[in-house]
Amino acid sequence: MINEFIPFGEQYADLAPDNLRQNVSKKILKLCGESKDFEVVELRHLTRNNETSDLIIVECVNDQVPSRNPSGIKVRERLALVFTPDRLPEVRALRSNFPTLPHMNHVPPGEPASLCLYADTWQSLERTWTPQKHLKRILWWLSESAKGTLHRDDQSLEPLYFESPFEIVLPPDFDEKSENPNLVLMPQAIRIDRPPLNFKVVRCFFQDKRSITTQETSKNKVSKIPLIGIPSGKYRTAGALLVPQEHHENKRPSNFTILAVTIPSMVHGIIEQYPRTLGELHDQMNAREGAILNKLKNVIKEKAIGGIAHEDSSECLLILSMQLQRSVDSPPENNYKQAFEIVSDLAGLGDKMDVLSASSDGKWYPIEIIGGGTTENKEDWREIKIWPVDVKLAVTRDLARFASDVDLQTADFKGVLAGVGALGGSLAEMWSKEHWGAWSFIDPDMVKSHNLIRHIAKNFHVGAFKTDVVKDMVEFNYQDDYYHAASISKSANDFNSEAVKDAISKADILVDATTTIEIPRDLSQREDVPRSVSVFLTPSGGGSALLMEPADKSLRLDALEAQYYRAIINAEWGKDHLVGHRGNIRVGAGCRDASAIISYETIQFHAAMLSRQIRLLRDKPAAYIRVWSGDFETGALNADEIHVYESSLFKCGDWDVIMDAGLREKLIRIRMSRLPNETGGVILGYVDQKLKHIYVVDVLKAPPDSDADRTGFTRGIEGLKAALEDIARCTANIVGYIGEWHSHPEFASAYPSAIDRELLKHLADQLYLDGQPALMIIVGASGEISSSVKEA
Amino acid sequence: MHQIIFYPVGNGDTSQIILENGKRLLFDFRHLKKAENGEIPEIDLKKRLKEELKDSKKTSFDVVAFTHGDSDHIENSTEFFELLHAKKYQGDGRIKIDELWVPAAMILDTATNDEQSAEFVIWRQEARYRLKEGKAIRVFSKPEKLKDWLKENNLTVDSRRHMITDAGQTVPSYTLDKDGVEFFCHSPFIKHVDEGDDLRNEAALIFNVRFKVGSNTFDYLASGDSKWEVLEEIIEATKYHKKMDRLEWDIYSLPHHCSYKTLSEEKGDPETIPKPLIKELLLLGKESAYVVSSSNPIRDTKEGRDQKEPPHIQTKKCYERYLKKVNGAKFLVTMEEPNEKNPEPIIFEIGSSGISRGGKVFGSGISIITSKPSPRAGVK
Repeated sequence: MINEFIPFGEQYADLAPDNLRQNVSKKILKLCGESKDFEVVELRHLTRNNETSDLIIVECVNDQVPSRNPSGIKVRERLALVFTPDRLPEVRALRSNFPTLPHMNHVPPGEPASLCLYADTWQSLERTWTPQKHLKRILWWLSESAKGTLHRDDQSLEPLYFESPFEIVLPPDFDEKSENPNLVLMPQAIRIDRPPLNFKVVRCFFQDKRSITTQETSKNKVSKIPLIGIPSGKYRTAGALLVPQEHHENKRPSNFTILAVTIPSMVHGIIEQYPRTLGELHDQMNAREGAILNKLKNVIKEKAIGGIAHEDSSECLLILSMQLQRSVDSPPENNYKQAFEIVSDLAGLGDKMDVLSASSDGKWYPIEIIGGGTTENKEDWREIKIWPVDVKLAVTRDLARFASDVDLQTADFKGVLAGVGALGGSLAEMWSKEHWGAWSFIDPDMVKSHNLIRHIAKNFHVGAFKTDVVKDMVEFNYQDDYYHAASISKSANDFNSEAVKDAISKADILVDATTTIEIPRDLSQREDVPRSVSVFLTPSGGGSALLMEPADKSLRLDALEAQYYRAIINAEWGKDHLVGHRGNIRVGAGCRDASAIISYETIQFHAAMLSRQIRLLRDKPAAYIRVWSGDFETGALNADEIHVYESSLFKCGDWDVIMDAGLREKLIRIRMSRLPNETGGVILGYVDQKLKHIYVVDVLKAPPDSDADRTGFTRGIEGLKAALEDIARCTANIVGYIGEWHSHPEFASAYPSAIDRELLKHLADQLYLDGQPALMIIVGASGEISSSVKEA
Repeated sequence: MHQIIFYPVGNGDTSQIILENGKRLLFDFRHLKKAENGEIPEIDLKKRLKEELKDSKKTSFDVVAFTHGDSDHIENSTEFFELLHAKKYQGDGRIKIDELWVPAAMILDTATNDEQSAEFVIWRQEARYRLKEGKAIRVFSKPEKLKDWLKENNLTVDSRRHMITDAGQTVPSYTLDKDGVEFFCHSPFIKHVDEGDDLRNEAALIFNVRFKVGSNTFDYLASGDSKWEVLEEIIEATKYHKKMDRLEWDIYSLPHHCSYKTLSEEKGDPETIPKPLIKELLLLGKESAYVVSSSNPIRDTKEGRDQKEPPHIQTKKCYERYLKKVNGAKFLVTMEEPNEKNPEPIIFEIGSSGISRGGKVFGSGISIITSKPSPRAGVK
């Protein structure tokens, strides 16, 4: 019955809270002291990678764990609760024979087992994380694991081994080809020498082993892999991209000498047969009174000043520029260019045209013959082969804007696009094709293989930073070095990064397509963040939403978010708007989930519409909340415009309460309708534990079994549970109970009475179980509203 | 899955066993009127039990057992149950008792009226009536005094033998194979009734309730209000009969609301020291076992340490010490779960994977607040 425990960390002499470095660990220590489920055994510390963690060693006595469960989890388990600044809290099971179960993290050999408690990143989780909830989560993990119900039946199976930091991506035809004896699997490492160096991705491809020489075993090959791997000679690198090189190999010449000749305007008319030789071209031009011969000779001589060498691999490209007229009398209308590839290098051409001669130094120089030359007599040049080449101008900024119907007046600005995943990448691609704005892309993620289904990235991008990929992809829309985007592989709320801060503070607009909750909320807190707009797809992909700040930034995204939820709760379309959500993830989590059913079609469907909406609304000063619901069958997209109210912030001790005018009006209306009696109900909203913000979303009316008279109100419970469950469901579990409101009768202010303060204390005591503050709102006479916040 | 439920009724007892086959056995009953309007934190037991029966579509308990007749084990029960002996205790939504279990002393108790509550007298009448009628009753132990009583009422022992269970026997109507449970009677002994001065506490019912789920068996030691002397006698007798497995426990519901007198004659400081035989009993707890104290909250304050009436903090500390020694789980107090303000019944679920707490959501403040009316708000 004696358990052995794995040593982990260095022990402190006593249980004094001051041993602990972090506030959060001190809170946990206090809670464990109060808890019936945790007994504190020791305090320890542990230093790994220059980071020191606080360790609270506890005996977790979990009465939800069946006493003889087959998983082998004990009712009493010794755990190390590990807290490291800015990292997901760890929980280590110290019993040496703790079972190996699903939902555990990879740990180095010999270390205690690590429970995988959360699917979210710490950045997202810390918004709602409280020490109280953490302890409950631990109990939940242990009991669900003990019962074998932690892993739901509808989840995909866990892999046989732990998730490794290394990843190999097999070729798509692996099953088909893996048994072919002539093929070997070749690895191709893509290492990105920029932080965060979290993992290494190895892509693989099949190669015929007979083509591999004996010296070049696969081992040698791996060691020779360049930074961006090249599987064979068929690719070249371009930025972070690999592009096929084939068309270059087929081109014989490595370069062209450009010979530009301008000829007078010509009357349009007969369409000529293309000439096959320089002589035929000369004759055609002469017939149209566009003699080119002397002009060409002069150009050749100019090019040869100072001497030129003979180059076999080089050719000449003759570009004729002319203007076309409708008739001899009409003015020129079109600029027209036609080019011909001349199958000869410049020296050879000049020799044949008798304008260059070889010198003793091996170079060719122009022949200066006074009074004309012998050209008329030398006809060799006539037989030089030429090939016609069409000339089109590369896409210019103006052409792109003009062709896309972009308002030229407002198209020059600096923008930041935060989040270049499936939606953000598509927006970037669209705006680059329209040449709308100059963009900086901010996103910390790399392209993973499953991203390819919905992202504009291509297979050879796997392992590269998304910002680099999108930058390259959009720059490739234009000629080299014509269109520029900036790539910042960081999180948009990483204000420690100068690059992030610089890009955001200099931008005219910020588009948040991060599909996170925390990034727009954080951006909302900063003055140096420009007018921002948040766009996202709903979890099912059926709908999308846009939240746009007004040009004067009097309302920020976080306040709009709260009003968006109120619309969901009250509108008909809100019932299924966020259907398919997983836990408290509002937005496109689906896109990050390899198993989600959202097609590239769906992404593009919404991206195209959102891209245009952002473009049009940016030119208007107001704030907007718009929501779209799509009908997959008919392709119809229904738009709903949500009225945006002003919002204000009440300071209540450590907490800020954010409430908008629409809700204040609603409170006053309900109060008036119940006078002379008091009334009240439940307040709906959510708490951001990191920002210390309480967002008030809506209020519920008094349940029918409430008790109200002229001097008091007791809120009943009829229908309340069902209403709260419904609200949680349709807001992806974000909106819930945050406190109680009530009204005061005529001539009474909104100031809390003695029993009101008792009520608030009661609420705070109960909400302490969740680590949450309690909010009480009172509506008094003449529309006065007070809000009070209390923490136990 | 079987369930054992302990209800928060202050310093008193009410528990229920609900078998996987749906049978319901209630042990003791203490309803406090002040709980009806929420004046005190104790549960409104009548309301709760009626709701439970309604949910399970039943109008009766298969068994109601009174371990003894003290008022903290029967309070207000005669208003709740349908009694067969008099019309005035029938109908009007009263809950039927398919079989009444009582210790023999409850039939015989002849203490004077001012020592007895009126309710105790009513139950004695009921038990006597049922025994005379020869139906819907089980009596535990068969002392001489009971034999005398039968003779006085023109009944033979043989005609009633099948309704009587002695210490050391199991109740024949419940078996591990048929019901997944058996009730092994530890107490009362015959001598408790015949020699005892105070017939009630010493002659209280004490069971080893053994559950079977799949291939696992679990032992629940359900004790009445016995003092350490009685417990020692039980332990000695059980040893003598080589049935020590009947004293092992996965769940031990403490006698007498965590009174030190259940361990020793001394309260002890800072801990009660158990008598040697009692210590043996405490060490018979199995890994992950629970101790349940049906009592008011137990506080480690000066007041708590000094108080005369149970529960005694010194005694709790002793139980906790031994619980830890056997790698047990928790010491639970009915009036503390999940908190002192709003205690809820403690529910144990006994399934093939073992014993765990059921009916417990991971206590969210929000669910507590929104499941009850708010306190009054307003200008006054």
